[in-house]
Amino acid sequence: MNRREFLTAASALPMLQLMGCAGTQSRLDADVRFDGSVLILGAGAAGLAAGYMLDRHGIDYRILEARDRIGGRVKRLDGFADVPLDLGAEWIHQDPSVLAELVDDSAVDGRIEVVRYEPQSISTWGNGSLQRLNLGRNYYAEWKFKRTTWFDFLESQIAPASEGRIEFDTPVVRIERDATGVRVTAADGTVYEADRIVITAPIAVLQSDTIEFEPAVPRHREAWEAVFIPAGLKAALRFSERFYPDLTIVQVFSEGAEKLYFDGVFRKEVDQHVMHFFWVAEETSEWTDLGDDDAILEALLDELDAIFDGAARRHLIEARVENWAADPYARGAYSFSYTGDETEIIETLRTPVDDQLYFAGEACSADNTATVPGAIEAAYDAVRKLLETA
Amino acid sequence: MPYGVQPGLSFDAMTPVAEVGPSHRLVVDLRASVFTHAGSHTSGQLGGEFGIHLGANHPVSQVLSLGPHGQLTSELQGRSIGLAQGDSESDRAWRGYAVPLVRYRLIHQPGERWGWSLGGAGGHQWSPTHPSALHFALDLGLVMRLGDKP
Repeated sequence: MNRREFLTAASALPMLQLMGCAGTQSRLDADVRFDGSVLILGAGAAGLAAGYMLDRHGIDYRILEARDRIGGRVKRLDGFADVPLDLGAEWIHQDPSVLAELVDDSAVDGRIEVVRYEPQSISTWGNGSLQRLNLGRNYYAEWKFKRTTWFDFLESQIAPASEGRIEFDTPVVRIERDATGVRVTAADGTVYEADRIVITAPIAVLQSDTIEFEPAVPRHREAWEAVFIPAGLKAALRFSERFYPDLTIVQVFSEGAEKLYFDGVFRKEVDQHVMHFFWVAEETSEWTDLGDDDAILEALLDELDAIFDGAARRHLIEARVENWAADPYARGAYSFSYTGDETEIIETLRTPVDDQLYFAGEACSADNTATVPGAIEAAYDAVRKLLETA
Repeated sequence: MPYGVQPGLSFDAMTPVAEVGPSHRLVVDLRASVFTHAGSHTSGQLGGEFGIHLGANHPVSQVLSLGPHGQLTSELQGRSIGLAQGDSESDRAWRGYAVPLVRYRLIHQPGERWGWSLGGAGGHQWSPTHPSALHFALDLGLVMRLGDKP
């Protein structure tokens, strides 16, 4: 049972549920038969990982990134605590040894500290009442970075391979291909050419049709249209006092829904009190549709004050909202549910188009969708296919 | 093994202290238990319960008891991962809890000395420094009578 399943069950009725961890294999080796040039669309976790693997095999590549920064939905928040915090992807979702497997470099120097994210006090909020009976300790566990973040991991371990090869502020509007190769047109009209392209744009961006494919990719379009990407909200709130349990689950009854308030610095050994908020569900649009971050924050504080008798506004020092739905280069959270056979849809997305287009990202992960390791593994798989085809 | 289920072993010694009617006994039950979620938590529990043994001189009997226990848990707090080799160093901490428990046991003793039992206990883990939580245990046991049959 994964975190999503645990929390769904726990929000419906406080009960004992469980979670395990899984490992992964190194995926950076390839029997290289390709010797051309590659474009990578996106410098999020998957795009950077694709560059990391291409660099290792000496392939010429460039990354086109729409934002002015790397990371995509991975984002670092500074200044709220003595250590940086994740304002995007946060949990590791696998045994933390996966970090070494993703880097796969015996010459790399350094260690990463992670904390066992195992909430010791779990409450549920529903129908206007807070259930404080703590059924959940030791029944749910995850891993998180202790003094660093997912962003730091990408920035320090994966991104350096692509230094000088990333074109920032370069949103792509058109991808053309023919027998001679791939031509990519950026929003400013600049045309980039290569033999092949790895597309790591989020599925919600592909669904938005802001990128035109010529010729069309009907099978892949059908697959990505079958993936439901809900709105996603995260927030960090720094308080002068701690008045909340390690985890408060807001009861949301749609399948797979997660709406959580939790200690954002759990076991991070800092002096500050930072609560994190996370909501990925069909209903999240109720708040993302409110408009700007200030309106969302007001709704959030209203709910927190209802739960904790006005303590939120009384002790609030500062807050930051991350609205994935409002980000034009994310347009939503992550792959959440599927219309049709999930395995078949993912396999279609993972299938190259005429040995020229390769899709990667969390939604293309064979085993770990909706996670950063899954995005990176999917990129390694896509690049391996690219490299092993002459 | 699901994460929240921690297998373990428990030993107890139940001693009658008084008779209540022809077939019931007041009993004191001393118990020591260890249980673990491999690699994450390992706990030891030691305590005593006072209760009543119903139908003590019948093949099928029941025990209702309650009492205090102390629990010491070694808990995984985090790890340090070596990026080069993936080696891992664990950061662990000790936690202490008081655990009052209520227990029910069904005992089937077809022979003079041997039998089996099925039981369950529920209670609360209390700590002045850590959040408290409910605690449940199920046990399937082997029963051996050491004294004379009453």
